[in-house]
Amino acid sequence: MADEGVERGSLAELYVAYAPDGIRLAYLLTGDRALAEDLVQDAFVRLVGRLRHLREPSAFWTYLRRTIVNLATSHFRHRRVERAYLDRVAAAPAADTNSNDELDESMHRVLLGLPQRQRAAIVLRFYEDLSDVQTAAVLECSPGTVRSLVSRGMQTLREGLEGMPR
Amino acid sequence: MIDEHDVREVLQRRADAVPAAPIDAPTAVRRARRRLVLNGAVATVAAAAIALATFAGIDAIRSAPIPADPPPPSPGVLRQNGEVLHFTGVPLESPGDLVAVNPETGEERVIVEDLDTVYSASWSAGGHWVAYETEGPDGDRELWVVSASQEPRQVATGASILGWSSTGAELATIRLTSPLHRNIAGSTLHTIDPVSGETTDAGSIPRDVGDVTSAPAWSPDGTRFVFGSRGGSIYSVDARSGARSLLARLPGQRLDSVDQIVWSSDGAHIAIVNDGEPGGTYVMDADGSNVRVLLDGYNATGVAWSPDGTRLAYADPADPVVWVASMEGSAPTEIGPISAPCGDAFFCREELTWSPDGSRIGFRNAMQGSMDGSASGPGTESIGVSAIDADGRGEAERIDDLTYRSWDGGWYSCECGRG
Repeated sequence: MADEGVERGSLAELYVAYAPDGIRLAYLLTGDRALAEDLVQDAFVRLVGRLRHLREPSAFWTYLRRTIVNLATSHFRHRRVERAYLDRVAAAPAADTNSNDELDESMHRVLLGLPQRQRAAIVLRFYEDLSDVQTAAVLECSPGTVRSLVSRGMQTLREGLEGMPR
Repeated sequence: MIDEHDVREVLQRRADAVPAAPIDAPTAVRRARRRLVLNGAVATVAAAAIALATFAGIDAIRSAPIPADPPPPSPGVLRQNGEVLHFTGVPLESPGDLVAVNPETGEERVIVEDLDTVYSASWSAGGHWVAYETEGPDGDRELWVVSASQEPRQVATGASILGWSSTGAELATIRLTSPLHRNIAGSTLHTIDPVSGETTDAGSIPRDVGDVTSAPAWSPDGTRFVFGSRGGSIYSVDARSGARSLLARLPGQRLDSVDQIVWSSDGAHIAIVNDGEPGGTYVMDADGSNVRVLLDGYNATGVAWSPDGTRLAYADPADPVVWVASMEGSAPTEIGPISAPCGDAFFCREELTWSPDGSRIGFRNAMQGSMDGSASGPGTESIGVSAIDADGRGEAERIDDLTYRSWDGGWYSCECGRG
């Protein structure tokens, strides 16, 4: 993650410091590089709108992460968009990255098929390495709900990847 | 069987595989600022539009099928008792109704029910109409109007900023070229007859003026608009001919984006906020002369003209103090610190407005989140609202948020920290 101790600098400095991590997170949530960039841009815009009023720059990443997750949730909440997106993902060749690892491709594909909150919970827990409590704060739910989301998501992943070599 | 360790490894590899495209920070920041300006400009333009003339100087509008005499039939007054427009849902999160809230009683009256989201809404002059921007099923922004006698009607598609004419008989929109990044350059001007829904093309924002950073601000007489570009250049565009001229270059060093341009209601002066490093706050005559530096090294948290256009209130963010500058040329007067303290709030946003009779200045302080970056979800925002006599006498008194919003132009939505 970007250095959380970044001092209040110019907007450009903040963008350089945090955008790459934000794009990676958004990509894991959406599976779409272009969409990830748009979400991060949008998230940055929303936070920059408050930057003038931001009292503690060291927590910028915390807020940016929350905003990215919320924007991804909002994006997929538009069901028509989600349906079209999932259709596109399903039809797309599995060559979005240079990786030839079958497990990686398959897992990411199953991950993208999860309900958005399950997907977000798994990404926050296992990529962002947040605790249940921290994940709950981002998703604005209880830690118990996080555990349930992760459990159900993991179950789906296991079922979807059954028989895959590790 | 797949376990958590496998998931961690795969996610990390996938994230690492995201191409490390060069980050064009300056461009991203400029986009961000433009969008911010535009988001804020919706309210600003709407407020300024209350004083707009009938756009009589625009040839295209002259040809619009709106009879000048007799005036179009009045649809009846929709706004009552200074009502405030409010979206009961959470924009982009949960649906709700567009309601009119009585600032005295808090009673809500449904104007349009069951909307997915509302980005902005504004009363027309006289309160006959409401224009509101929402989102269609495909994610496109849509502009709708509704009156006391007319069901909601969609009048435009796509991101836009809008303003009502001073009569409330027409709606001016600036249709943006991009719904996401909201570039202004190349955007087009239109006017809309809310009764018929007919749209008239009124030209476009020129592309060759450089990096436009502010929303165009219509003059109260509707004959021209001004906008700012990076570096502090202020341009004026004749709404009749489209002719553009350099109105002024702001004095100072390291000027950045012009974030706010506000006309006085009498059309005699223009206030400008430049969000540079250090930036500044300025006021000038409408012809670009007599540029006065109100804040040097600080951009005001907001500027607001008195209803008669003779006094400009602005807040010094370094030490939340409200100043009032008279356009008669006397030195600005410190009115007083009327801000609620920001305390441990992570975000602290300050804004100000005038009471309709010009006797008081309202100050609103919105705080959200905590220093440790913890919860900032819906309902966590703390609002401090106060008012002080505009002559600087007396102490600041708390007023309720609805009263402030009624003074401010009559629209608010959830300011939840959903990001």
